[in-house]
Amino acid sequence: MTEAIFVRSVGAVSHAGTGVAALRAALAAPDWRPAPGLARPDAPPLPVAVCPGFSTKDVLPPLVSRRLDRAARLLAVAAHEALAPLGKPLPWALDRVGVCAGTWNAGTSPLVEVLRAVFLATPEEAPPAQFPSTVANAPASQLAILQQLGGPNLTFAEKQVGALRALAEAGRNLLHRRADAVLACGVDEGDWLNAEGYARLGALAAPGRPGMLLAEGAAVLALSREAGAAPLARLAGWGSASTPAPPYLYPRQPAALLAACRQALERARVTPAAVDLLVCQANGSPELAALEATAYPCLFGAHRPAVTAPAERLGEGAVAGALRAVVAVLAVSGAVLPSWAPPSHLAAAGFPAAAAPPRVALVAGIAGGGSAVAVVLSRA
Amino acid sequence: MAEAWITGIGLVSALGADRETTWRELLAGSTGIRPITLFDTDGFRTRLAAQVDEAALALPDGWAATVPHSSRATRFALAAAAEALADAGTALDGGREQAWPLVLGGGAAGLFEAEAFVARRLRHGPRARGVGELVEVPQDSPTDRVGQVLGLCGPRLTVTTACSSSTIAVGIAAEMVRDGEAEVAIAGGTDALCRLTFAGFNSLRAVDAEAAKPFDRRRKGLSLGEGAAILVIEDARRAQRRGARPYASVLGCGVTGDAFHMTQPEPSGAAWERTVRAALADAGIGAAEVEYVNAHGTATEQNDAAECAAYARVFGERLARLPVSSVKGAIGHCLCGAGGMEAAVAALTVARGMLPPTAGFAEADPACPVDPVPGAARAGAPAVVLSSSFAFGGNSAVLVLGRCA
Repeated sequence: MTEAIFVRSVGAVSHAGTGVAALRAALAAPDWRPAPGLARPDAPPLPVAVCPGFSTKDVLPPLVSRRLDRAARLLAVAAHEALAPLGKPLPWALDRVGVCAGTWNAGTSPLVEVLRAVFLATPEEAPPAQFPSTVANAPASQLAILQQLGGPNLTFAEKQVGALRALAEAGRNLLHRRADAVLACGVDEGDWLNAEGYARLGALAAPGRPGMLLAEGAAVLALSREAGAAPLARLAGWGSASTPAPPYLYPRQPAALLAACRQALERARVTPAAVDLLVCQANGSPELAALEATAYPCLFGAHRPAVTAPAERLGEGAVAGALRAVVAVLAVSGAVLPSWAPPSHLAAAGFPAAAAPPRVALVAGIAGGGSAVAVVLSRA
Repeated sequence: MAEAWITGIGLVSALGADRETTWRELLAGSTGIRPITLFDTDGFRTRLAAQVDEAALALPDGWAATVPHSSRATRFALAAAAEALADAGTALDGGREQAWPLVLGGGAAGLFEAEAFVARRLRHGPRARGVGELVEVPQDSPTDRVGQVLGLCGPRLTVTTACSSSTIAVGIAAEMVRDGEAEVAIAGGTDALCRLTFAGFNSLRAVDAEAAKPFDRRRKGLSLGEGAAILVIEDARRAQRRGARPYASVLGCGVTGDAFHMTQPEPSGAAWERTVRAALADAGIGAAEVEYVNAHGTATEQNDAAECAAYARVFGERLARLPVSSVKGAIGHCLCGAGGMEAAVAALTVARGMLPPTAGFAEADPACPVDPVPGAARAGAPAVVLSSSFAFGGNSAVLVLGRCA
């Protein structure tokens, strides 16, 4: 890229806890394991890595918090953490600060409440306060309203890679000078009906069957063209491509994932050999594992960067893409060295665990349906 | 920077399942807002919406079989995509063409179909059966399906910013072409009626029991609609080389956040003024050059007043003479598909020199001091037009389209 984009700060709420410090602590502990479980009203829990003890206390007044749905609350808290180091007031005009979000399932819980009234009572009993939160852009919009951010406000739905798309589009908006700063983020809520849908489609892990652990949480990366006093990383490049596939299946060929990675590296003007950390998607799906096991040896040739797979323990979703980007930022900034063992399908191909602070990290993923997005984050 | 020309349009609406029928009925001042048959409307404040006649959809042979469990929203998008590609006269022959970006606005997707499962699940508990109805619940499912059927391998984006989704999708796709990232991009949006949106707008008391009457003093709310538009957006040099007949050039796009309220527009018009000015700045043109506005015009009391206030701030005294019409009295508010459908109408307006009327408008409102093109279509030859979308959450977007040089 001809112009630099810097990651100024980050914020996160995840299964590891509220705040980046909790995420760092989990990443630094090789034996940290999730304790997933999302309750259903009338059936056993489902494999969702929810955010334990999450609260908006100290961030939002109770009356404000109450009018937000859970996804908007998660994003508000993560954004609060990301905005804090940037100063108050922010160093940019507020109508020049945008939000680019990715989500897989924001709005599901309010949707269920509206439909519960329609199907079990009468349409007139549908809760008007819930309906606005059924739109997937509600978390990003509520964040803009809370923080008075008047820049471009975009939400992308691209299943597992929605937040990586948001990161790329945040970069586009900055390069086109539509904004001076953009909060790139991912957010998903733990909702029983949504999780049950994926369980019925056979996508979730179950006793005796590998599969995904879904994620709940929010992660935010504050981006700007100026470095500021202490930038954490550079958003050096991004790329995307797709392979035709039904919405519920990964494609069998790795072409899209490879093309997205190559575009991102080309835009960043780095070779595959310069990548020293791969933050892969590995989410428990055997089909995805097969795809990654083919794609990455092909991309890297004889080179074997260190690899880490946060979604194996923090869960999968649009938010997982943003969390993986945060992990990459923390790694290239020297804040943490991910200690979790590489996923077995890449370990078998010779990809090691991280042993030294990386300079260049590649974060890549592919969604059911075949859309792939990759980003390169490098040391500032 | 390249010019981004619209060289193909596919349009599915309640007025007709294709572009020419929709355009003809639109110019005639017809409305597609009628009692719906899709689901039971007992207990709702209105029984009306602009429902697409699915039986009239034209899908090429074999497409439907390629996408089992496809939703109505997907089928609208596929029909519009087939029409747009045929209209552009540019076949997908593989190679570089397969790398065309696909950028759609996504909304309810397969929710109408999934609602049947949700009803069973809520009534009968975990033993309720259902899998196939859940396949297209994700909002990017129609985008995936269009990519799957067309065999596209390029970037595939789904914008979901409520009513501005497909406006922004067109803006992003055009920018990819203008930036030289792609020679051709396919853009637009699709949305389908469902109980959720019907109940939601009902609960907000934002629907009119009668057909919507944008900018009219008697307006009481919107009428929901459904449909799809797909645009083929092409580098002007490529279009010229192959002798394509363009409709309009996408000159720019403005996207802003109101940062005001989830459902209420900022009443002074200042927020939406910023969006219009951002679009004009992106296009590099002045407000004085705008000769027609295809308005958001939902027919809610607050939207239409705030929208007109925004235009008054941008156009000043000229607003009273500026044609500003809304198609939502004819095709309903198609939510995430609306912006793409209205961009298609705006492009047809530029290409064919006819201004579509505001169906349902009869009595002027001092709060909406615009020329809404009442009655039937009017001849006009606007060189530059705006297509505006102002969404839930304050996700606002305006496209600037112009005549192709």
